[in-house]
Amino acid sequence: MKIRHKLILAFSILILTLVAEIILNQVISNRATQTYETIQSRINPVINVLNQYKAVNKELSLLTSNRINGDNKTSNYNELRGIVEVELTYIQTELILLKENLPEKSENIPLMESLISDTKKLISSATVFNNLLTHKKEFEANYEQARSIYVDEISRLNTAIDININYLNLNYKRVFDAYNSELSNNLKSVSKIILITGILGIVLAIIITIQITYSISDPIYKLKKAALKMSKGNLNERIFIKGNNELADLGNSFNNMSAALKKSFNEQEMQIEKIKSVNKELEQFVYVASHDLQEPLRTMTSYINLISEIYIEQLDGNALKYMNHVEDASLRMKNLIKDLLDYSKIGKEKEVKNVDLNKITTEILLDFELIIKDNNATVKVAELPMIKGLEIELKQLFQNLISNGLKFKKADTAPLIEVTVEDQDDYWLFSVRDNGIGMEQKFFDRVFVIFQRLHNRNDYEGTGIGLSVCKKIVDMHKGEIWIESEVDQGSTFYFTILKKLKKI
Amino acid sequence: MKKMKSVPTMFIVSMFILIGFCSCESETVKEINIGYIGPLSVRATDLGIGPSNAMQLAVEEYNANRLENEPKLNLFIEDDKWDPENAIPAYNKLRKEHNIGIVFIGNTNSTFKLQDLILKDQVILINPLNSGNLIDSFNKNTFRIAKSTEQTNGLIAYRIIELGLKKVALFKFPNNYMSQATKEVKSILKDSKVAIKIIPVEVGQTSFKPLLLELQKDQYDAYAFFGYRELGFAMKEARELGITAPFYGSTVLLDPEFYNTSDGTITGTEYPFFTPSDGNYILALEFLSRYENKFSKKPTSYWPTAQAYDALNIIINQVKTINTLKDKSTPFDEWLRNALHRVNYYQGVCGNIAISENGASKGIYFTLYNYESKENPIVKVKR
Repeated sequence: MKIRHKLILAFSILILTLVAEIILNQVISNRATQTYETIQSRINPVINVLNQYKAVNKELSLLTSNRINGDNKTSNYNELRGIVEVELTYIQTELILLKENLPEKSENIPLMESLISDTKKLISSATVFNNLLTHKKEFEANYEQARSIYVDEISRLNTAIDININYLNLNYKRVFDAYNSELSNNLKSVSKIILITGILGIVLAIIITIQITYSISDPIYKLKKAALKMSKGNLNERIFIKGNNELADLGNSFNNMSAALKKSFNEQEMQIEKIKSVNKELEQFVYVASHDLQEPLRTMTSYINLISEIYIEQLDGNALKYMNHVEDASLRMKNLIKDLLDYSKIGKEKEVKNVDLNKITTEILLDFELIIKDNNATVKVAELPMIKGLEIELKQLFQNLISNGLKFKKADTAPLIEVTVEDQDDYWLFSVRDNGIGMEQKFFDRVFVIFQRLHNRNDYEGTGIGLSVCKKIVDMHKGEIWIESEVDQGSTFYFTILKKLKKI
Repeated sequence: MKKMKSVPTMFIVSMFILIGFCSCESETVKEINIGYIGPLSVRATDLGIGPSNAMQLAVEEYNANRLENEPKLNLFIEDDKWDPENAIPAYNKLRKEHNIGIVFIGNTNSTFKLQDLILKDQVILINPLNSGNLIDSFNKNTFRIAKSTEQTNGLIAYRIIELGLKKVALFKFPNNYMSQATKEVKSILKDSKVAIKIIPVEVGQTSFKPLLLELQKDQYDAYAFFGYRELGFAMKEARELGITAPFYGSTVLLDPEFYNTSDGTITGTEYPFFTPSDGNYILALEFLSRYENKFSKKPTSYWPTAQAYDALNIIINQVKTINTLKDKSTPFDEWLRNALHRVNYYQGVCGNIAISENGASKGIYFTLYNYESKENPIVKVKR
């Protein structure tokens, strides 16, 4: 399944869970609200009125009893009147309204009707009773009648009303308890739903998260691992990602890329091998050519020498001049062939050893002792390290660079050559600085090309092979060589040598 | 093009909706102005100052606690000097300057005078001093949230019967309330075979000697004074003539001027009155405490003050629902009238009050008190 489909499905499941929770909560909350409203609108008002009536009835009972049996027969006239005129009338009205709102088949209707009827009678009896006893004189005349009303009517009605209220209270209490219980259950259900759907949601979220995370991270891990192996040169690495999703497609693309890279790499390898082979042949050719050229050159030089010695007097001025040119050319050719032979010999002996550069530079300075002295030159060599490399070639490298410094000196300045080194993690960085004539930047690359000369042969002797030899040696030591220079400001040759060189 | 057309249409529809909302908002009643006309000077100030203060207190309490959709109430007070002739000018002023929708007025005669005006102006009138069956002839916009004239003054009649007194002189001040009080007492005493003589009093009368001499000669054993400070002179002259018969008074005995004109002979007079213990004692004490906190004194007479406070709170209980319960098409007076008729149980400081179909309240019941001394004028009569 596609990752986007997985994500959509996952979110849909979570949303559905949430929607289910909302719907269930709404349904149960609505039910709870209805129950609460029923309690508030249908149960509590009745219970309140009944409770109020119970208290009023009791008060009325006490007041009427006090007026018949108490010491002060005319007391509480106003209180009694207030109860009859306002409170009982209000309760009667409320009871009528409550009765009208009762369901048709409610068992409370007869009780309510009876209560309303008794209330009406009580209002009437209590009014008559109260008016019979407005003052002491009346009390004397009307006591018996008032007592009769109290005993036969008010007292009886008080009891009947109280019983009715109790019955109704009981019934409504029962209904109240039932609704209350329902409300409580509804609230508990809401709580349970929230808990269950919450847990369900969390579990689903965890499962989905783990599943999706694994389905994404596992292929990515495989890809990372394969890419790492590829980066180390293993172009045969392939990965297999299950499923039919974007990462599986990516895996396939990776495999295709890997195959393409391998093909390309193989082709390059073949090309390199081919070039190496040609290069080797070329080197061999140069070696053989330069070696074999030496013999005829020596023969030619010998004969030229013989001619010069034996036929010197028979040669005219022009012939002598031509002979001198031939000798010069032979000598130059000899030097060129020698340098070419030396160049081709570089690295022939490819055994990497520990090389003490201090020893090498000391030897070089001994070799150059006379030249240094003649030129009034100074060569400062820093403490150099022991490195892995080809001893002869490394000596050649330092020798060429120091020799260059001595050769390309400024006319009126004593040469100063400084050799330094710097530790750069995997490499040693060496520099050979001189205070000579320097060069323009456009020649920086050209100087390392074989037989390239920047100066006239008459100004500075040499074949123009020295720096190309340096470059070849540095390349063999897996390093780089470059130059920084300004005209008349001297030059600095930098080169690096790999520290952990194992083979050439 | 279709889109281009729909933009102005949408704009017009939006404007209509906006205007609709604005017009809906304007239907909300933000403020209601209430007027009070009562005696703040000249005479019967005990019936005016306390009530006006109590009403201010009620309005302040309501405004301070009202909800956002409940209207603000403004109370505007006019002094009628207890003269019915001032009622109409005071009412017109309140209508003109403040466009009042409800007017409170204590004087029964003034209530009569405003009957046509309030009906024409669709104003609800509340009398917070007097109620009773004898003033049933008021129109439908008049409500009396107050004591019953019959119940209050009947107390004197029953007291006279109780004490076995046989000849009663009834001094009657020429106004509606005092006339009805006299009439009620006469009505009760007549059935008990008590001889009654009604003596009309003139406004501002200060000498009653000839009449008193005649009554003394005829051996009247009870004197009931249904009137105001003028009757203080009658009391004084009666005692000066050596008349020792018990005095009875109306509910207005606590007017300080009454004591002054009687020169102290008012003491010992029994009269119907109403104190916190006659109503809802707890609420009454709380009300008095708030009243004293605000005005730094007790009301001169408790009952008019408490009645006015209850009356205005009953009105407040209704008008605060105007923005939720009132139908826009129903006139204000009709809506409030119907709402007041539905008040069948209000727990006020005067007790539990209901309003009857005839606009009179029930539930405020007076008791008989004795004017024991100037310092202690309200002592319940033990019977």
